[in-house]
Amino acid sequence: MPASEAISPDMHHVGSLAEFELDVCKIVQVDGRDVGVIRTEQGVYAIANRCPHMGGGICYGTVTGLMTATSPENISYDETRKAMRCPWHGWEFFLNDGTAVGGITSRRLRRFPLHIIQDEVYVILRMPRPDQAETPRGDDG
Amino acid sequence: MPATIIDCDVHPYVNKLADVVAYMPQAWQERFRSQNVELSGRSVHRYPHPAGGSLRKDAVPPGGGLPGSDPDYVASDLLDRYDLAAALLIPIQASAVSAWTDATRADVFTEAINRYVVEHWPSVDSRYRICVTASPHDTEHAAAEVRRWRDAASVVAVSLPLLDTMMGNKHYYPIYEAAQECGMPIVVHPTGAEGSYLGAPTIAGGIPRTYAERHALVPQVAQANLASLVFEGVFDRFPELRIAFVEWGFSWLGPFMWRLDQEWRNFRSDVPWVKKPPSEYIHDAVKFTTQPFDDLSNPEDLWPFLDLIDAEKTLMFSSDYPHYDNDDPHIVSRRLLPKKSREAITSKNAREMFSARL
Ligand code: FES
Repeated sequence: MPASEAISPDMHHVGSLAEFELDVCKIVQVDGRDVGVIRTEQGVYAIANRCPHMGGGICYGTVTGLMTATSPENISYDETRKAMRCPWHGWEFFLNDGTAVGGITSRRLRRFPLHIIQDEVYVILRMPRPDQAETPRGDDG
Repeated sequence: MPATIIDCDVHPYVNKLADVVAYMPQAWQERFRSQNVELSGRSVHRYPHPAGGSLRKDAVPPGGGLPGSDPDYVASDLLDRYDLAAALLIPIQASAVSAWTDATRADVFTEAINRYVVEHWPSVDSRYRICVTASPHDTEHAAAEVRRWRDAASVVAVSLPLLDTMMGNKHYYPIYEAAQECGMPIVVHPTGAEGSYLGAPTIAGGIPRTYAERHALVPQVAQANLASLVFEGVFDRFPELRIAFVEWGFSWLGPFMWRLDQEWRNFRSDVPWVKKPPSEYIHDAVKFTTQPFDDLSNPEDLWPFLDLIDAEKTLMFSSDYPHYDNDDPHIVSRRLLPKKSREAITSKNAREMFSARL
């Protein structure tokens, strides 16, 4: 089935699970818009290719774990807490809930519901009502 | 509506050394090829970038190569997308020479890259305008290079990578003289060498630990050089010289000018050749650029700082495309700037600075 063909008006097949390399954001076209699909050990996620900070193409960024530290001498890395790091200013957003790593902003990364049926991946994408359309805001940094 | 925004900081990239080497005399071609010269000003081992590099991964041209290396793609990804009226091209790879020690090698390299950019970019889109690079090492030689571009319609300014010799020093006067004579402003932009090499501008206080810490302190270099320009009397010596400080920030400028003025009042007898308050020299001859725009939760909190520096006369829009910390032209112009200042900051001030050549 072609990647963007819908089996219900909102549900779009975007590929088979095996087509998504682990911890890499793959951009697929759904209804003419870029959606990033990311398969991780922890789950599969679909995100908008628009950073909540300034609109950067966040799907071209890096899938990363969570870097923390108790001091400069004691850093730790939790590879199970997956986040997307934007290729612009480097802001990171958790993939599981879209919140910003480190509490650097209250803005969230837009995520889309995703279903896996017999190893086939489907993204639910409703066209937003105009009053819900997400635009990047430069006023909440 | 006609395009109005002028972007005063866009970086054209050369994909591989061989592209520039082709513009060098034959012996230097051989020398550069065998040296396999790295085109980076920042010491990438001293301050590694947290994301592995400073170029936007989403700005890679469809045909491959470095972000910023394909003039057609930059035209569509930046100029057309944001409806820009003009873009000032600052070839940052040429600024790598600030960390070099062989003055002749630096001359050869800057001259080659100047030719490469002038030959490859404006012919693709007439909105491209170029800063040719003057090597800071042999300034007599660099002055001759500046004069060579006097009549090139696409060349509007001179990019001057800095050393730890500050801008007020006589060392740079041959370049200022040539720039003034040709009506080309001097553009100073961080090179990446700051705080990384012996001979490069130092970061005040000591050695920062991380990329983040160093990056926060880079504006000190602009502050030091502004003070140097004023107190060494450069603006009286070169009354037509104009200088653009690009990518050093601007919100610190208001209080910094207060301090310069106060020191001048207190110690006027120490620098009697400085005839008027430093802030007046700066207002008359210097402009600054917007990026990286201070990212406040409420942009209006920044507006009093714009008034402090008379931003409607001193500030010019810049994106810094294709670097990771670039600013979106529409967000800056429509959301972050007060409406009353928009036209001046996004267009008028750049036209005034780069005059008819823009
Ligand atoms: S646009 Fe993504 S971090 Fe700024």
